[in-house]
Amino acid sequence: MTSQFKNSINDYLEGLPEAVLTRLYQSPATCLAVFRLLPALARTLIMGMIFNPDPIAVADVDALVKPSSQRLKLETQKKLRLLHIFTETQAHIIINPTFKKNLRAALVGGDQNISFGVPCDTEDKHKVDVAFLDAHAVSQWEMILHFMVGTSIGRTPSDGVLNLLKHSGLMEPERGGLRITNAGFQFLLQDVNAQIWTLLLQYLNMSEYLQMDPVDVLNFIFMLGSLELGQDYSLSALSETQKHMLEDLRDYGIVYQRKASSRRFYPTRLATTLTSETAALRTASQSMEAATQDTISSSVAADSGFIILETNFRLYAYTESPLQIAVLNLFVNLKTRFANMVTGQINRDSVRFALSNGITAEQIITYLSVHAHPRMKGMEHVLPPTVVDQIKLWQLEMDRIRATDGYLFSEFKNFDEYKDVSTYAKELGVLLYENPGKRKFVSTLAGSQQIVEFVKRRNQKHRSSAN
Amino acid sequence: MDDSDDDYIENISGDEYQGAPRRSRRNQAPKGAGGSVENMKMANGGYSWEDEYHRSWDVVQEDEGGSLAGSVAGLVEARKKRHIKDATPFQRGIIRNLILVLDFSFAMKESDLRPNRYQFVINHAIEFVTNFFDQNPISQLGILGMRNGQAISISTLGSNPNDHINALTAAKKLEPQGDPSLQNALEMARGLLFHVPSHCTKEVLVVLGALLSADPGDIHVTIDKLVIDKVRARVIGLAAQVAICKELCVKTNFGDASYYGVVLNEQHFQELMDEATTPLAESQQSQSANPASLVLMGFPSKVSEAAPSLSASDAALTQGGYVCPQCKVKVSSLPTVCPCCGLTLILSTHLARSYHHLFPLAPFIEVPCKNAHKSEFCAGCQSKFPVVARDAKNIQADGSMTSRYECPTCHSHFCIDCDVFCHEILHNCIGCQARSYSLYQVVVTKHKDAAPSLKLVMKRPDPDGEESSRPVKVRVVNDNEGPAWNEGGQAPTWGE
Amino acid sequence: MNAIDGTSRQLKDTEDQTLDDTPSLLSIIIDAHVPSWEEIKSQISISEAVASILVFINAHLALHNSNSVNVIGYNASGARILYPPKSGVESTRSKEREERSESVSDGEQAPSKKDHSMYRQFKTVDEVVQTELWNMLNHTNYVEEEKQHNSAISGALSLALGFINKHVFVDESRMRARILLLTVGHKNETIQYIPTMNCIFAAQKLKIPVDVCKLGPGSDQVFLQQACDSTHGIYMDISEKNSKTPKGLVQYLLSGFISDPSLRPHIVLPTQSNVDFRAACFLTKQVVDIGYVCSVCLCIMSQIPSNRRCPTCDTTYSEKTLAGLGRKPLKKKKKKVVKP
Repeated sequence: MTSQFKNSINDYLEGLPEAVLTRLYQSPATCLAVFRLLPALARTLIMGMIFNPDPIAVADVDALVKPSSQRLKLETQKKLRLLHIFTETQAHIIINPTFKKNLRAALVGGDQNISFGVPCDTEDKHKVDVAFLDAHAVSQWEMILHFMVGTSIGRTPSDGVLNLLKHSGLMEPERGGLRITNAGFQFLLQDVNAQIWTLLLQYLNMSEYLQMDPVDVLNFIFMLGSLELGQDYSLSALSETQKHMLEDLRDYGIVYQRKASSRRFYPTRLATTLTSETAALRTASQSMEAATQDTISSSVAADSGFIILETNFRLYAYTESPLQIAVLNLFVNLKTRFANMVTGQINRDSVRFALSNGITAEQIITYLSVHAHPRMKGMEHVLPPTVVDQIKLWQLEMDRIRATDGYLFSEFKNFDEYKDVSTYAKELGVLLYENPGKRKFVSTLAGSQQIVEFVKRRNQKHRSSAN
Repeated sequence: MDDSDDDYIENISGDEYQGAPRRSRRNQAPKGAGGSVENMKMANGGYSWEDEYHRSWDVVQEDEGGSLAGSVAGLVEARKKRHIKDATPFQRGIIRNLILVLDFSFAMKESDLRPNRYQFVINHAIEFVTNFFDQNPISQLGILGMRNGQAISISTLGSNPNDHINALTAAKKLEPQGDPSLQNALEMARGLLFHVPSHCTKEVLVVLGALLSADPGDIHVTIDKLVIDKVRARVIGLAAQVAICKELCVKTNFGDASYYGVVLNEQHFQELMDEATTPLAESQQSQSANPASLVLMGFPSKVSEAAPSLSASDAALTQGGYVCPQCKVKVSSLPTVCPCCGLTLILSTHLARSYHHLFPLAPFIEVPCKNAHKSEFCAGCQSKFPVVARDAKNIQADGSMTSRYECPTCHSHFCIDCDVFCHEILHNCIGCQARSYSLYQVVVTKHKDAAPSLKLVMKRPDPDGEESSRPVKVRVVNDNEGPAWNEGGQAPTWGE
Repeated sequence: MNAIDGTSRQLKDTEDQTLDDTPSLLSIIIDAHVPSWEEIKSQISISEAVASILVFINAHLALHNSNSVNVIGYNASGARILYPPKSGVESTRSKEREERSESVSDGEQAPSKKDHSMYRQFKTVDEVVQTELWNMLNHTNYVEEEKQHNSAISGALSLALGFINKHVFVDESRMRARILLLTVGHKNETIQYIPTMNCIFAAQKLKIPVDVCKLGPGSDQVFLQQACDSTHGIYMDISEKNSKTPKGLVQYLLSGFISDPSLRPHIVLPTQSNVDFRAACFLTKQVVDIGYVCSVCLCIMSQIPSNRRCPTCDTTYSEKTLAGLGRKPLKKKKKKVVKP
């Protein structure tokens, strides 16, 4: 869901030290992007403070929020503090001056800054249009996902991508190739925005090893989020680090460059929707439609749901994309395929298969509800509660056996001995299982040592008392 | 037997489609029903079951490209088009007292309306309460039920919608049982409306699901008493037409039979209930029943207090409310009747809500194909119109080919969504307003320290630039002929 | 097993923890009545005001990626939608760029083609709004405007509501909508009462908050205050009469009027709280507390008219009804109780 990626970016940003954040805020595009990630109350408060030269009194902020929404206010303040946008003194709140100055620049414009990208002045001899960019983005991205799922479509992603997948733990090396891990399966079920951000955050982490300045990387990412689709941008505005990034981003399908040496690049839809909520990847026909209409309504999230789930566990998915079908195949028993639809059934085996690959029931349910057909979303329960409950029950079934390592104590001489030792084990709290009839019990590995010593002491006592 | 055989042979001879009675037999399989069918045929000239079978899939037709998009869009649009309401400004009874009578008898357990009749009716009654107070803020509503041969009071005559909604929600738990008694309900309604002052209208809306009424006495006597008391009844039947309901409606509405409706489907029920929210137009006879008069009303001002205090209307502690100007008691919500002195308390905005009944918006006319080129965008929302060739013919008989609707005053074109919006919610024509002249307008003049005062003036756009104004003529319906002008033809001139 | 029961659990976070993050559509209605702006020229010039409005529009678009804006201008001769333009944004921009490259007007610098420092989404909107607004201001006949006292506020509100209805409700997008009315106001402004009230009721029904920001010293429009009150909007008078100054327009806009409809339940609105709901009599033109209402046309009178006719709809009241109204309550004669 859309809030997933927001949370992950927020976590990353909150983890950065203040100096880095201040450097980050020097670019208006970044300020704007970070601003949009904040909660609603925070945005309102900041807007009121941008043009105000004095700091605000804490009392004013308290008076602004209704008493019933105090929790909201506290959360907001906490978040702003963590991002070092607000610094709070006893009675006043001061906004970070760099952030303030650059956000104001973003609103007012006029400053000669290049953080929003420099479009090319000269005409491109090999100009590409939006449809081509969309098709390119879709093919690149799906190539990666297909590779992860294991469907063979011929092409494999480049080494840089494979490297990233390995480092992020989404795939692991196995027998000369790469095999998808549990984390990888979970990754597949996320929506596209979340997936891109996961990869980008991994890239950020890697960049610190590669000695690329994270500020530069973040600036570039946020700048990409504010670019215009279909417009070519020149490389003249980018720093060295950012030019280096461009090659990697080309492999993910986020930008398009005709060849590695060309001096201009085009952002694709994956880039422009980095910081927005709209569906980043639609089928080519949908994006064509949206591109030709220039109305307000098409810019708001078009429901890209295509799954219908019935109460008898049958599933109908109106999709032709092999990727989505492959993803569905992970946990649905697909039976029939039509020209525009696949049908199948969710049963115990299919869900078991998914669970054994590390996917949780929650993820399956989230995936189904996110991609539910708009008609399903209109109902009171998006998914039938019977199916939801049953998937969770099947997950619980997997927990039938729990294995614990232990130590078996048996062959006691008489019942008294057995009773003493088992009571001692019980008091220690290490007793896992006992069978008084057969005079056996099992204790944990850690506790077995103590029990052995107790037995030895006891035997010594008996021997000495016997003597 | 012989007769039907003759007819049958006639049809076999291959006669063409010849007119209603013959046509109706063409598709009918020979059943040999005998002379009785002949008789039925004669009675009405064609029963609905004999009509040509309308196959619902015939409506949808493909166009040349094989796509259905055009006809689907036409169907969607046709569904959006509402009945064109008559928009002449009738004089209406704005201050209304309506008693809603619901049926709680055995017949309401049927499930032909989902989930069953009485739940369906109660849900719609709750919506009706909201709509009613939205359209008629200074009116009062009371709810009765018919159960076990008795009339039970569900909520008393009052102007607070929440009371009624709570009462209806509680009534959902009541199991429908027994026979309905129309007479008891009408007597009870008559009693409730007895003391209502003469300037208000007295109305009863009955929702009857059963086909019978179990009454203790002569219902005709009750109906006559209702006529004497000037109570107007409206009935919505859920099953079939019942003669006594028809008589009730006809007698109490001065011979007009259009106040009795039987529902065809769930949508139709909604429409019939919505009709009841519009105030009744006054006819000549009803005018003598409810003469025009002046009503004393109070306009309280809002007070906000630092500490909560008791309010007289619902004995609750509230921190602010309205103070009655006559007895200075605090009430918590408006509109209401002051519990101490009985004065009706309202805000001027409540009166303003009812103005659109008195000055309704004229319906928009569909633009013919030859004028379709005059506009490219909707004047209300700037959405693009489909391009229509000048000589295109109407493909669908009931759909609009041009999708443009024109206001008769300002001649701007609107799309169907703006048309529905203007007539149902906004009650203004967007084009007329945006051009700063309109047919009916109230001119506000401002004063130094007082609220502005209003004057109702009818203006016409004058090419010379001078403004001519005439007072508004409020028409009265003449039951036999049609609308006639008020008393005496010549409208007095406006003196300043 | 109750822990697994999925019927009551919802997948989204509960409402208390996160706010409803829906995008919103802002309809700004700008007063383009040139004589009124002339009156307050000393306090704030039109270009400063336009700049403030553009910054405010940018701020609104900055709040959420999918926020959108609708700009309407009105003056004495009518109201018009300025943004989004009918012919599409791109063609208007290119047309405007051509015009600008041909002539440089009034000492304003023609923006260089290399001005890339602004977020493209802001830039497109700003350019179009600025062009259209200047067109509207420049093409009005000053003398005509001064003569006429009508004000097409009702037209502007109707346009805004029609636009919102189409793009938010009919198209079933998830957006919320609100209206902001920037009015200057002058002394003799006359507003059509019934159409304006119709617009207010429509806004109330559709749950669209209507905010009003008043810049000029004209007297308070009472029913604009009523409009804000019934739709839960904000009414702010920042004219000099109220000991504020319109020069700080941008700060007032950004602090007071920026809140989204989804945020409004949680904050205290900076609106004027004492709203006068009383009406004025038709005959004596004074404010009434208790008055007589004609049952036909609903006009308000503070006393029974002398000629027994209603001043607006001209219906005659019968003697009997009028006599009944003037009657004082009956005094019940006390029966003497005879004590034994």
